[in-house]
Amino acid sequence: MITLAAVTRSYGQGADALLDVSLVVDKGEFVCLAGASGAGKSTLLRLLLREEVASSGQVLVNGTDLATLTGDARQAYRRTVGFVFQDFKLLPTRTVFENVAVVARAMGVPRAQQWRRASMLLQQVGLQHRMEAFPLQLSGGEQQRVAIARALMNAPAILLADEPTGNLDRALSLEVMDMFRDINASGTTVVMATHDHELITYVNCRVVQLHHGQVVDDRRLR
Amino acid sequence: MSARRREDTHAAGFLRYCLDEAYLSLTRRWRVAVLSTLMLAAAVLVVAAALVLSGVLGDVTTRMTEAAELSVYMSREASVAEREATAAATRADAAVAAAEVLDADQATARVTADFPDLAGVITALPERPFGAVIEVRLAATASETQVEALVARLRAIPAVDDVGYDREVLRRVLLTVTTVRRVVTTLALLLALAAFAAVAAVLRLGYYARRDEIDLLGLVGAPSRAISGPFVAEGLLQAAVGTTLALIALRVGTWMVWRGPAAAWGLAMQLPDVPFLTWQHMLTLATAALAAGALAGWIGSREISR
Repeated sequence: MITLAAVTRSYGQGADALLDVSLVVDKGEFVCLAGASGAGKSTLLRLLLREEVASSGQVLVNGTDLATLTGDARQAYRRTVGFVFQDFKLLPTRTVFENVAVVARAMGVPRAQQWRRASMLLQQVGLQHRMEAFPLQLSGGEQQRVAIARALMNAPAILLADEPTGNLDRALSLEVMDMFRDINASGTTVVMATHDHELITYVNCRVVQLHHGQVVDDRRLR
Repeated sequence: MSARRREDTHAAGFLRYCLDEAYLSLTRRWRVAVLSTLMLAAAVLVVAAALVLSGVLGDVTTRMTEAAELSVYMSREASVAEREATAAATRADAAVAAAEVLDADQATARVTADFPDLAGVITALPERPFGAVIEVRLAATASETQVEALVARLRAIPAVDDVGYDREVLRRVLLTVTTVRRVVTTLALLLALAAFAAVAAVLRLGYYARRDEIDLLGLVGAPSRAISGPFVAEGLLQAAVGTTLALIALRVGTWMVWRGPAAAWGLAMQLPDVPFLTWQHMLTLATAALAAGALAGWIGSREISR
């Protein structure tokens, strides 16, 4: 499903965020990108979101070279991928429902249809009763659950998450991990960046260890 | 539900999204939005006023051109036959719409009627001071070359003393009218450009106010039209409100001017009642304003998405 072939992402002389990374992720896998800050985890996710382009090598998703996608083709691809950000990226002036349905609304999807899908997702993350609340009225854990619901709005085949528990305490982090496991169990491929080894152990995923932009270890737990 | 129907539903939903977002953006920054809309209204008002003024001046010059007359002064010694022959030759000319012969008595009567102060002097003279006069009304289609050729031919007739034709005055009036039209048009275009820049600047401010949201929309896969659409709608809304305000202001303004300071002038020029734009002009103006508003929004959003 996802193939990285000798991918290097360089930001200038001697500043390689990723260096000759090759990786294959199969459909339905749960992959944790582990490593310290600056290891290249977020860069790899940005390449998978087609927010950046590899300096050399290829990033293929379902056989499509992401470097060839521009304009509306790139946007259409992004709609097939869910992304959960560390800082949630919720819009403070919009309600929970509007945040979850942000793309559907921009696409002109009828409101009733948006409402049905958002309700279902918010029910999954236990926030159906907060649909009309604003993000600032929610706790950090609730905000991240809204962000997860938003990422799932288009029923993505791939869910990318960049340190999704970075701003949460332990209990909330485990709660979020449970959600990710459920999402993965329903067939969605999950690629999550984290530096938290306890969480990696908790979700029991495939671990790709990055160090200074290179894959130094790739193994499945148990 | 057919695919076509689903597509239509999405189009309607998208339109609603654009209008909702545009309205929200305008109301969030209502002070700036009001200022730019007023500026746009002022630009449309000046352009519309220029069109009205141009129409009025056009009417005036048409009337002056239509009223432009040649006066053929026959010598006092000219016989009736010579006078009638000259009149017949004049009527036969393609540049002439009509020609009226006034004998010496009628010519004298007309002068005393037009200049009552001179009546006493004229009647005190031992003999009539004027010969017969042929008053010629030129055809609306007559070119200046045709008229000049006619004047030359008439002057060559021995029984004709002189030919009066106020073409210099008319030429000056036309030149003045043309200059006024050009100045007003230039001013209107400059103001329209300024208004366009103001609307574009307001839309840019709108982007900065919504930057986080627009960046997020990009990251989660919203199509480019979902980003540019609300900006275009914002430009359209401002243009629609601005144009409506401008047309109302112009209607009230022309009515007040025509009923007040310009009333006497209008009567003297035999101009129709309160002048205003034709439907075609209004439609063109509104279309141009809406297109400019949409263009300002589109250009702004293109710069943003770069």
